[in-house]
Amino acid sequence: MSPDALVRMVLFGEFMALVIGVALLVAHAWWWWWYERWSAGRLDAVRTALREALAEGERHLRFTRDFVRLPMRLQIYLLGELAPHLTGSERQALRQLAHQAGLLRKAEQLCRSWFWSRRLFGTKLCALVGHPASVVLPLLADRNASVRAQAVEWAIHRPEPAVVEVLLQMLGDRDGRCRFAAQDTLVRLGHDAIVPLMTFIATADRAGLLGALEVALTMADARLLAPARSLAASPHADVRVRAVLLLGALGSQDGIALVARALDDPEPAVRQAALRALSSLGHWPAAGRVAALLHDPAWDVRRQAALCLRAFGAPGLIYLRRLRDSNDQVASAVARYALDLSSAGASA
Amino acid sequence: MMWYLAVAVEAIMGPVETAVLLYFCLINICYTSLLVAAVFEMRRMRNEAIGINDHIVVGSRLAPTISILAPAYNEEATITASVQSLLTLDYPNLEVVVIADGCKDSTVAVLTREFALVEVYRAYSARVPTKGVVALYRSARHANLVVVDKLNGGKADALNVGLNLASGDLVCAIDADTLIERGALVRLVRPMIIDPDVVATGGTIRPVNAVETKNGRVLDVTVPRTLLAGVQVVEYLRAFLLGRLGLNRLGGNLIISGAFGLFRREPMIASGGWLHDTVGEDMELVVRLRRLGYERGTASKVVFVPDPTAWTEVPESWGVLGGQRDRWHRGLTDTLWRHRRLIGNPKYGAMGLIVFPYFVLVELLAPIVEALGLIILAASLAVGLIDQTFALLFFAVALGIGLILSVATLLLDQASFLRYRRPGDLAWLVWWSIAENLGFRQMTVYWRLRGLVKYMRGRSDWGAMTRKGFATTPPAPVPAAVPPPRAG
Repeated sequence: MSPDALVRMVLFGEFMALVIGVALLVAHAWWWWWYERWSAGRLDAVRTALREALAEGERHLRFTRDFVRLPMRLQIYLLGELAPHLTGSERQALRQLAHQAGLLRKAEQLCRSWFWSRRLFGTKLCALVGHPASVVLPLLADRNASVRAQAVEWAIHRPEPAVVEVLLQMLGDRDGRCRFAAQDTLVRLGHDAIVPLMTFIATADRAGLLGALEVALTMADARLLAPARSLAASPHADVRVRAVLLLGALGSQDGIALVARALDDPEPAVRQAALRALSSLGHWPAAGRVAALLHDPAWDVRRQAALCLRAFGAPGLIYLRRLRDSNDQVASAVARYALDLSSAGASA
Repeated sequence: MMWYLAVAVEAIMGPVETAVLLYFCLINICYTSLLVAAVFEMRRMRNEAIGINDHIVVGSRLAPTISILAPAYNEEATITASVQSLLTLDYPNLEVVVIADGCKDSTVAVLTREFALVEVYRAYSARVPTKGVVALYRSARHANLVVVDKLNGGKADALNVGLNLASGDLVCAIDADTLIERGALVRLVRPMIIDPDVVATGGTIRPVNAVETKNGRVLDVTVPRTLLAGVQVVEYLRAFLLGRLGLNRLGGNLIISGAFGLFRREPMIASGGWLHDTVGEDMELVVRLRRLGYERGTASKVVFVPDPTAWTEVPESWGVLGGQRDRWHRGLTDTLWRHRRLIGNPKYGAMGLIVFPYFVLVELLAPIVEALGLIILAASLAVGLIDQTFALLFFAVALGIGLILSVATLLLDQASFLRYRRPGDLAWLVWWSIAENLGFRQMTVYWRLRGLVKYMRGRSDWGAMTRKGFATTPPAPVPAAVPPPRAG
């Protein structure tokens, strides 16, 4: 084949590829234009009927026959729109509706698929309609991290001990999104997760423990005081930081004493955490010790000490005014910064 | 005489022609690989997005804190809208640090008036060395807004001041004139939550010219009808959705756009922040972060995320655009030269073996080879070395490949995000894909070559960027700045 013929052939191929590309682009645009118009009216009607039916309870589900007739894509779209805002009997009614539309059966099939993207889609569907644990629970240990994380979302509405136990184990998951999803779900489960969390904290390895303490800090339940007290003496600085912050969130006499003791910790991060804890407790009798930390070798500790004194109110401000004229330039600077914040009514 | 010239040209052109042809094949193989990789990567990322839902991150108290660093230089026309849009982003733990880099206009006065700023004493730890800070402000109205007025030192210096003042686990570097979509941060942070080895993430940048905005929010997306802005829409789409998305899969990115990038704060400070003495500080920082990550065994991945979008104004005059492209190429050259020991170095994994050679061969050398190709074509035609029809056909093949890549990128964008919904807009996009080959592309080759020459001569100026601003009404006159009350 001559070079000329070869180039002509390539050019023809390119031309065909371009025609197909542009045709696909136009077809896609046209299809969406048509689909949006077609679906908008139906969605509005079904949305209204569905809202009324859910408000009335299960016996009015016959009004939702339009929902059953919708394409599955739109059914799932509607479920995704409604499900996050529903609880109790309304959620139960939504589940019944999904059952009528065959979505539960479909979700179950998808969850058992060999392909992870289908399992992921099935899990999402289960999270929307609240499928029984027998189908979704195994997916919390799925080999694919996206599927595990999505299964955690399903668990938000399942405060059963077996589910909470799996979530706690996920705090040490190798994948960040699973850890994050598990932490967030445990926080949302709240009361039901406290006792298992306490047990977990007592036995967890370091990776799981750090995640558990972050959950505990966000929950700030008084029952977590005992583990926080014991972990304030942990040999690991990152554990001590979280334990001290937790003590600051919980308070109590001996908790405050432990926080105050942490002001002398050799690790700057722990001293800083202790100052934040004292700020949140507003424990002004510690103002003298806190003021001494404005001369700390670590910058972050000095700044936090100044902000802590500011948080104490009048007793702290007295120290700050004294320190403003200190020979220690850094102490003087952070004191002035904190005083400026106070007088301006601004936040740090 | 003509015969001697023809013989001479043939003797020189023969090997050069072969080299240019081989390069032509190599560059198109690279682009096709990027396109295939981008399609797979888009699918993976969209599935990943299902695995961790935006509303969970938005509603979570456990989401990492983000400090947005917004350097501003004479931005009085757009600063209020920009800061308002930043303060109302959908993210739970957010701090906004605006750095006025020695503004000569009333940027600071506008901010003081609009956000009730109060001056506080300048106490901060300068872990990264910078030029002096003139004043530090906190907002009495927005607890998470910090404004710093500093001596002019350029964008890198301004970002470093922001880095020193930021308190978040992550810092998001943006241009003050960039509009970020409400849900963009939640999507940008996703890879950071998933993988602790990710040190930086970047989102898509789209031109805001011709897009309707209000109060720092994008209301209606249309394709610009003017040549320069229209062509840049296609160009940006190709650079982000084809180039950067594809590179995610082929060894990771070397560039995070300076207009919208998210970084882990501690590795940033440990690496020394943004460099002052380069015009390509965005790319240099990313390469340095990745390089140090490999050398120290710390986080070294850089991920491009296609769905978070930031909108920025692109130049609509040939002069300003030329200056910008010339600077970009100088920045690229400088970064590749500074880190030249990475090329082909297996110690740096896929970055050394695939990504760095790609940037040298394709991104850096492309204008030289393209210019050479055009010169050879013209010279060969002049002395009758090649047939005119063949030359024309070959030229059409080269343009055709570019067009196919552009259309494929448009398809990828439409199928994934459906940003441009009107059929008319799509027609304009296809037209701009064709039109960019008729003069614009050749001009970019010239600007990039000019950038190379300037780099060789040691020029490091930034050039000027004139902006129209997003506001449809002119800003109200600003009273002279009044010194804020000081603590007694």
